[in-house]
Amino acid sequence: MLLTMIWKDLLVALKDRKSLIITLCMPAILTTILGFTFQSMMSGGFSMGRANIAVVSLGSREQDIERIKEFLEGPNMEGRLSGEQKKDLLELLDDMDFEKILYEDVLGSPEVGEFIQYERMGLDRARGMLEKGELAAAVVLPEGFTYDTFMNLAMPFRNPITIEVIKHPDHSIKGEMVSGIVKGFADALSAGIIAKNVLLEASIENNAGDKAMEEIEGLISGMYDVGVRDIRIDKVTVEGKRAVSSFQYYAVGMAVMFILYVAADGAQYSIDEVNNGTYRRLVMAGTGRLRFFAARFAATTIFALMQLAVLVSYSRLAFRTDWGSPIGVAVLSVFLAVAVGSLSALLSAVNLKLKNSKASTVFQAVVIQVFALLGGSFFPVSGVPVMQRLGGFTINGAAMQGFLRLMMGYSLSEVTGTIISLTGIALVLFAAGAVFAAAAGEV
Amino acid sequence: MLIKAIGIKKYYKKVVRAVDGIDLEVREGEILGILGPNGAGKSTAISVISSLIKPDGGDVLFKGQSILKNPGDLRRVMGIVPQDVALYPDLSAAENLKFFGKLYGLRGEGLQERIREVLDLLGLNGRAKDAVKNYSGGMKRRVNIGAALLHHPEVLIMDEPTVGIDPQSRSHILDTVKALNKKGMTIIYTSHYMEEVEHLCDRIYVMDHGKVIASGTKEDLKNLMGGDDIVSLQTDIASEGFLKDLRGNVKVRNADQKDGSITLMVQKDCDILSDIFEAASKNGVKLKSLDVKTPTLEDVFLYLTGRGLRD
Repeated sequence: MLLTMIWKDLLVALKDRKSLIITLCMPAILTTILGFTFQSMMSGGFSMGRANIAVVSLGSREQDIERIKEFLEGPNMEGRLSGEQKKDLLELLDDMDFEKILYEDVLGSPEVGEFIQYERMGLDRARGMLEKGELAAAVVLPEGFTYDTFMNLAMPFRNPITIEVIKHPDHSIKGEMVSGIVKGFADALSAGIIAKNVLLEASIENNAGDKAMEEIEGLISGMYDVGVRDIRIDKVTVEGKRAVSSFQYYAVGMAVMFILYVAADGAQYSIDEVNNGTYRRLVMAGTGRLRFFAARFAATTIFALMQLAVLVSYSRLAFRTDWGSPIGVAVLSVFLAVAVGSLSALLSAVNLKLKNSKASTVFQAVVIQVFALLGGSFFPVSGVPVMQRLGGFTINGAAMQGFLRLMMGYSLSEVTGTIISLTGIALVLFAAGAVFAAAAGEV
Repeated sequence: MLIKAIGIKKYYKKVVRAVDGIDLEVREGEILGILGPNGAGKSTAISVISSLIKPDGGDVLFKGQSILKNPGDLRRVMGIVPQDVALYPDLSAAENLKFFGKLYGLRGEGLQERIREVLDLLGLNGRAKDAVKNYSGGMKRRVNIGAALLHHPEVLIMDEPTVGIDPQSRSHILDTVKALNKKGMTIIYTSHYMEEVEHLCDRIYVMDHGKVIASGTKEDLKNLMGGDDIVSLQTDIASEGFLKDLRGNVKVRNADQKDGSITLMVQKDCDILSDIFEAASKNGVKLKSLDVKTPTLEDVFLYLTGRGLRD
């Protein structure tokens, strides 16, 4: 009998043209429109708000200074610089603390501070926080940074320096912002080294190399924000995760938003059955209330799965949208559909309790829009922590986070949190539905 | 006795007495009519009798067993035709019937065969695959009946099955009810159309304000009016003298005047016409029309309540 009920509920849903337009056509159309509209803005997902970043220094300034002293006293420099000049260069080092310049004058400046909040930490901690999405990026200063910078600026050497910016794919715009700022810092340093090289090379051509070396200290002391030509910014994402395109983003956003309409429609069908008397026929035929709600839950779950399958297929065919691991998508879809089925059972029970369709109507007209906003269906909410947290408690918000992670290349095991969230939400909805169903009384 | 309702009561919000202590018996193989105006409590009464709602008082026995304790036995053998068209409008007639048939355990070829029989009975075979929402009101009502017949019920409850339909469909439905009863089906038929109840039913309960105000066969009910005939007159003027003369006639039991209409209750089969013409001539009243009829259930209801069934 339960299968018969499910068959009927599915048939009713599949023959409801208005519902099909809302649940299938609308999300497909909106995905297309929004995907194209935000294509340029989201060449890797966008974000907003202040970025938390880590600055990791792999070296030790004290050790680098010791190395510089050893170098200046070593055989390479013997007879090239006077004791006075060496002393001046070492004194200059105190003013040439480029890490300090980066922290205080660049990242700590009021202008940059509006967008970026930095914290110095070790590499392991930074990587851990990046993995959890707690950081937008980590700037990694390499071992020997002070030594190599000094050598590039004050000596005729060109030691390559690589400042690495590790970005989190969820925060790609923030990551770009950090890269840009660090690049600006590096460019400023590079300008200094170019000036030094020009001076040295021109002096050597004119047989005045030694004299030029004597002037380098003056040149360096004249500029604070100098750099190293060979500084390179490496941009990598955590563990090679992919950024999400606008089509991917809105394919998920619209699917998880419009799947909520399936739940509301299911609840509407339930109260329709009461109002048009078919519910009484079901009761006369021996269909108990438990079976009635079980069928509603199961039929909505199946319909939601069908809806997801259609929308995923559409986005794959129309925009070649990569949804990530197929198994991950399938499993997450099942859990999402189950949560939607539970929601439909709850709304049905509330409708029956109230003996009208207000619950499903209000849910459709107001709640879905709010949930979609919080869940990030309209725009990414990663930059608004309150919205992001609240969105995580909604079916669509939780599912969206999971699907986006799969799109970025995370595996099924890495979206366990989403699955647990959806399961929790489904259980809560089930329990609430049972309370309302029991309280519904005679219908 | 197939079904016996004993003092059933159903109150809404503890104030509205939808059903106020009615006793009712349904005999095997009969067509039982429940007649009353809209709001009389007919639908609530049959909802209680069919076990769909629990009464606030009283009990209903089916073959001697309380349906309050065990509604399953009754439900299995009862078909119900609700007042509203209780079907899925987007599904076809065949799909609706298939669904309800399956709910009653019919499967496979047996189910298909039964659907064909029911569609034939209701004259709907030609449009079985059309969505119900595209049917006329009469066709919808016929499918509504069909959905209650699939499992060969012993008892069929029909709640105002002809409301708002064309005369042809109504006639078809009434014929169907007769045919089903002829095959042995017990039918409980509620309506506020007295002519339907009069045409179909063996016994009748008349309800008003949640109570049974009269019951019995058609003749029993009409005898409540003393077995009188009804004479209706249309006059050109309202004359007090004419009315007084009529009331003074020994053959007239009662005379009422409303505008230009006078209704007389007179002894059955007496010769009253010459007396009426004489009184009219005497009082200078011109008779525009005159109608002599045996009383209908409408007249009985009017007699019992002072109101018409459709008031």
